[in-house]
Amino acid sequence: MTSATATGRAARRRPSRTGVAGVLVLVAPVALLEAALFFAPLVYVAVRSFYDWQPGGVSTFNGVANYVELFTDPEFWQVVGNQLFYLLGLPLWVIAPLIVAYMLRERVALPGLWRSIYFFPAVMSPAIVGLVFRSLLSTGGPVDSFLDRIGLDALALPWLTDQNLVKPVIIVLVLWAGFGTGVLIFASALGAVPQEIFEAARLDGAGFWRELWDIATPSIRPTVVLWTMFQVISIFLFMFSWIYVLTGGGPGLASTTLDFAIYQKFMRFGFFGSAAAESVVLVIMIVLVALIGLAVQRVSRAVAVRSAARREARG
Amino acid sequence: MSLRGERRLKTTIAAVIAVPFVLPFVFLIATTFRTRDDYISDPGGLPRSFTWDNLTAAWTQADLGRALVNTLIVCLVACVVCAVTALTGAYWFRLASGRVSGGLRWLLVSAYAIPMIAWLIPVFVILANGGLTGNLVIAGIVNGVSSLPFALYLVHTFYGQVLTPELLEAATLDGAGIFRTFRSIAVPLALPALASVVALVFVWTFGDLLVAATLLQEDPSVYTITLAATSLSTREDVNLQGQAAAALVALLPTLIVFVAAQKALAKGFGGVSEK
Repeated sequence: MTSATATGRAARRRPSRTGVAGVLVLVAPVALLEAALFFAPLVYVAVRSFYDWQPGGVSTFNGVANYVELFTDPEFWQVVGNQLFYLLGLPLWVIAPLIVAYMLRERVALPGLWRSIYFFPAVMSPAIVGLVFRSLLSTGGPVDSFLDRIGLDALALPWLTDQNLVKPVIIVLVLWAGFGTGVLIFASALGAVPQEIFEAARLDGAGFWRELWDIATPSIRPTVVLWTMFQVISIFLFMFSWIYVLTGGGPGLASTTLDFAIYQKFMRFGFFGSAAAESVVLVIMIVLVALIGLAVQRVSRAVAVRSAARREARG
Repeated sequence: MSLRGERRLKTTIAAVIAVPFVLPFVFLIATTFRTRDDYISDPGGLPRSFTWDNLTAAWTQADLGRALVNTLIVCLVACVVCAVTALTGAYWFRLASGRVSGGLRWLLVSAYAIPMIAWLIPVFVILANGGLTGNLVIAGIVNGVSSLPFALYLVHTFYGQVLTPELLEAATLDGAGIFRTFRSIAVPLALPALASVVALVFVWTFGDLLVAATLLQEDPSVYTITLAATSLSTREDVNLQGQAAAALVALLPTLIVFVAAQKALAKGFGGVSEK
């Protein structure tokens, strides 16, 4: 920690002489590309959200009408509700990979192979994988017919077309998709922890679960918090492909996420002004979530420091 | 519990967890290569036949060969754009000190959290006004830039570890300018991080649906493989087995990358945890 700060201070003291040529050649490309594709369009959308936006036609300023329309639309609130419902999967998405990463730490055959297999979905196109799951889970499809065959026909449910089932099913599929990445990240974090603490716990007679909760998890707390944040943000950012392919947002609006709803408004229905307003709302929601995440991170760091101090005081 | 008992139990659990990760792909392969009658009689059972028909039918109906070539063009452009600009940018941010450059870096990295849908649609509207949709190179650039915040973060973090102030100072004492230092020190040092960036951008771009469905949707001759495979599902003349075949073709290239570049990929994803 001290050496890192010292290096940082040295870096700050080092005079920067990158010059105009350096700016133009090295940093201008990345800055301009991001400005052109992220920031300028975002500002453009924010401005257009106050218009009755008709691309290619005449757009008229209409104040906050788009926002009023959006906030009084029950469908919008249903989609926001879906988004919050998906977040219920969070404990599952964090705890499941944590347990398995810890389990694979020692006394298990072929840990690398298992980690590779779990990691598999991370490189697969969510759109294509969604296509496969849609076939698998279709009514009367392979999963149902298999369940029928082994006498569990009561469980042969309309997984993706029942409005109460579809969100839990998607939560499980999100677990499937992110599980391996989580295992990988937790495993590398656990590998970086001084291994003596586990041995000490074992000598104290701690079992698997106590070791996991009392020793392993606190020792990689920053990684756990970061992964949790990452999963929360992913739910706002990357659900489009899954929803587009798996359910088309249905049945009704039962599985629609905000990004998919915005896409539909823009590309299918042509409600451009309303879609722009919804985009702005989505961005604000993500900023709020990120701020909450940062606050949680700060609190958890403070807690970690305090408990470490207490441990030290105890001797 | 004895140590051997624990080992056996843990290994069994690990293997059971592996089943849902393997089974969908087994199903995909089985569905692709069995005959229609065999599939209809028992879609969830074991295949009792073998045929190439589904694969060849999907290949021609969805023009998968062309779609693969299109995807590779998009991926190539995306990888080059992202890797080059992330590398030079990260190098500059390593050299530059001060509040302005720090703030700029923070801004460029935190753009990761801007939802793609919020910026992609206006980009689409502007491109459409200029008649520039349906262009593979532009789709590649858009894909590359969409990975740029993460790539910049990754390479910059890596430089923080390997491109030490002492190293930079030594280069300056030797009389090397910033471009010379870049060429002979910064680029060779960054190769492991670059491998991660290229592998990640390839995988993400290969699997992209949103950019393709927005910028390339009007003209089937520029469909990428994901767009071709997913658009099959809305066609009456293609059955579920044809879709499975298309999905298999769409997954195979990433499977190869996965096997070839697993370390680089894992390191890239691991970048999330390094902080």
